[in-house]
Amino acid sequence: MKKQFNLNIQKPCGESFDNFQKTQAGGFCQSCQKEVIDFSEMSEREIVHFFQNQAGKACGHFRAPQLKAYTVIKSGKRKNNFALLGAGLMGFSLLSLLNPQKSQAQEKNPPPVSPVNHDQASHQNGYLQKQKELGLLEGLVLFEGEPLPGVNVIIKGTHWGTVTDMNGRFSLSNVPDGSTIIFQSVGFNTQERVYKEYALDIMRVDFKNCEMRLMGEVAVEEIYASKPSIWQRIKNLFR
Amino acid sequence: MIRLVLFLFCCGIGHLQAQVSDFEGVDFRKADSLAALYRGEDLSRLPFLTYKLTAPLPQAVEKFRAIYVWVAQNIENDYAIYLKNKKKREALPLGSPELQAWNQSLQSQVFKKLVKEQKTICTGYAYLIKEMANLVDIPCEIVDGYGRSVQSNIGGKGVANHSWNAVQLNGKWYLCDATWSSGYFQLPERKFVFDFVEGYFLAEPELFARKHYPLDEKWLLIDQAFKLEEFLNAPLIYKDAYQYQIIPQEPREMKLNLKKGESLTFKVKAPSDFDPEDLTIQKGFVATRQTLNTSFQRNEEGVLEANYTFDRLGRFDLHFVVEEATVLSYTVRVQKK
Repeated sequence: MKKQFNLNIQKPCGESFDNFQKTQAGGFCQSCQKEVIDFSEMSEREIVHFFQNQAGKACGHFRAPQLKAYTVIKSGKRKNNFALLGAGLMGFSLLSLLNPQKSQAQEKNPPPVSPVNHDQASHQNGYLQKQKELGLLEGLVLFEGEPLPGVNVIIKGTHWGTVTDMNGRFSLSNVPDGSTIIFQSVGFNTQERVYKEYALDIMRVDFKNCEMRLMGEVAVEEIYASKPSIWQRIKNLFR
Repeated sequence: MIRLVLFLFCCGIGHLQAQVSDFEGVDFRKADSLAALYRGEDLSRLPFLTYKLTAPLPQAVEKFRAIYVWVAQNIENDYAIYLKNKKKREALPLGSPELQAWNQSLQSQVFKKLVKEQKTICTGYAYLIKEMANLVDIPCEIVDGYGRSVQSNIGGKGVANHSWNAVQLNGKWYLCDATWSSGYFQLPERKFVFDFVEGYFLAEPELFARKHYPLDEKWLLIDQAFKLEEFLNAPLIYKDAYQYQIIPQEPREMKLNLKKGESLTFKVKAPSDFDPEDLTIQKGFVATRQTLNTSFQRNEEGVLEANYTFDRLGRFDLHFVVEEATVLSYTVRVQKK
């Protein structure tokens, strides 16, 4: 299963990384009393790995080309990928650009990383906002705590959707915000959920057993016949 | 213009359509052809199947028709589960923990068989109709109750043994029975024959109630009082009564105990365009039927009436017949004075 996340800096900070006191992971920023992690030397793979495991807020020092979309290819080993990813999404916000002149120009909406003077603005500091891919819906369907494969997951009003896999999981992309998602499988009560684009948790659905009485009747082609007595049967023979 | 032609067409074969008159102007042929188009599809992608059956149809009643016809023509009655379940339901009291335990264990088996073999009992049909209708936002409920046939609920205290559906169309509730619309079992081979019965689709509640008594009486959908006891002891009607819209009125009881020489007046409701001469009464058993020497006339209230004097001793069944189809039965015992 592939996943994507974006790294970008919304509000760069004005501190100079080179002035920080060196630490094991990067440097210490006096103004906000935090360790700034040096990502500038990390490979793409190391960055992906970092964000899979990182929880809580952190501050980072980047080269400009590193602020882009990353693709994560899941190994499928860990159970709680989703929980970690959710935590990892939280809490990267931005401090400043390395270059003071550039930081003045970045106010509310920092422009995407455009071709700039490589020497000056090639490195950036700050908290990161990791963006969730918009329109992506991922989820899990369970019955009595066990994953349920083969559940139909449909976007209401369309003939578009998917089916849960062996692990009860599913994924749909480009789902319009506010869509109603239908979860259906014969033998269970169909459920609905509303998809919110900005929700960070996966969509989890617990199926319950149908509460039904099984009545059992079928259609039989028979005309009523009361049992004739032996005498009547004999009489009938002579009719 | 086409509407008018269709309307006349529908009227012309009116006696074949035992549907509620509310939908007389609707042409169900498009819905029926969609149902035929998707014959053989399985149930694993139910929302997609439902979408395909209904998306091209403008009105809710047409969508429901496509769903209903598809289910009736693709899902088979399951005799094995019927027998197994019948014995249990007759032995265990309704609402008892033993019956609930039995129900639980049977349920997963029923659903597995439904998806795998497209074979099920009445509750499976009712479940499917409800799920598919709800997927296209048509309010629909499962109604449990007493189903009446030769094999069940003639006299006695009653065994709740059947499920059917109530569906809301244009703000009004209607009744239908997909299990019995599907076809029938040929006995003794127990071979199921697909044979669509129009009469159970949106049937007149008064007629429907003669073979379906709901556990929750609100689903009777009729104004007059009709109690379970009357239901259990009334003359037995068959599916062809729905085809011709024949509803017995008098006598109200199926089992008639008479004295020799006694007369009875039989009263039966029938549509205004029904020819009284088409209805005859036959006496006797399956192989040896005789037609009674009497005939029906329409009285001032528009009800068909026939008189007969029972001047011979004996025990026999009376069958009301229209064009070789038996529509209802009484059973009679004539004794000495």
